[in-house]
Amino acid sequence: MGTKRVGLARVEALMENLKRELSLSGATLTAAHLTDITRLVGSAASVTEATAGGPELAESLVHLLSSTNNTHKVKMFDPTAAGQICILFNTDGAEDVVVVNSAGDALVPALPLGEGKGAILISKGTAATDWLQLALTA
Amino acid sequence: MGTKRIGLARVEALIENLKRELSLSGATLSAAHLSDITRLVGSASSTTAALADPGADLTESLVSLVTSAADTHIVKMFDPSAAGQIAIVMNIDAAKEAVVETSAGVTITSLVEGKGVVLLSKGTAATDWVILFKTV
Repeated sequence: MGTKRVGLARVEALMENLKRELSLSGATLTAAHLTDITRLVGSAASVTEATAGGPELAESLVHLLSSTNNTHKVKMFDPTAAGQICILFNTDGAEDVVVVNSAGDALVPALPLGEGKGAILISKGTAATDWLQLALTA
Repeated sequence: MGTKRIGLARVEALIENLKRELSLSGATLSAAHLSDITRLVGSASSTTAALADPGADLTESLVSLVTSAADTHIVKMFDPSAAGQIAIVMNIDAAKEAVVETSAGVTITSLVEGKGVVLLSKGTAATDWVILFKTV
């Protein structure tokens, strides 16, 4: 009788034969190389800003935003680590969305997103004020 | 007694119940579909740009955060591992610019403080980085 232990090679073979969805339930993969990626999809919750105070966005790679008033706000979640990427896009057809940090203060520089415009933010640390603007839709 | 073999369903169940961090130590996941991503964080080591010769080498990473002690100081990109590779370089310095060069010393762009660039590779040569977009 052979060993009952399952070695790395067996696990690797099993993983490589896995053609189904693998729900990781929030587990973190670190130090991974991701190559030949055929699909990259953020958990794109759609948030409608309906009040002047603004809802706080949940942590996500992508946020699709809409708005009922040009002055309405959404609050960024605080970054978990330096180097975190967040994509925001205003899918609204008529109104701007103002993006502020979790304390309600304006980002630096300020980030009003016009309808049909997006931004890529990147964090330099974990504070509410650590979101930087990498790129904006022209 | 049941079989001793561990099937796909068992492996899937084991991994899906993993709530902890899984350190892949540089292992490559290829041809994956990644969906419902709630957090995407580059291994954002901060590198300080150095004098023109030789400059400071960036290690391969999705995100490189850069500081600088002088507007002419340089960071050098790692060579791309494959076509289609994405790299983000962000100057988080509050006062000084940083010059981004290829590993061969050819200027790609200069980054004003607080600005960044998204690079995309068209091959694996040092000169194969192209600018996808840059902070205005």
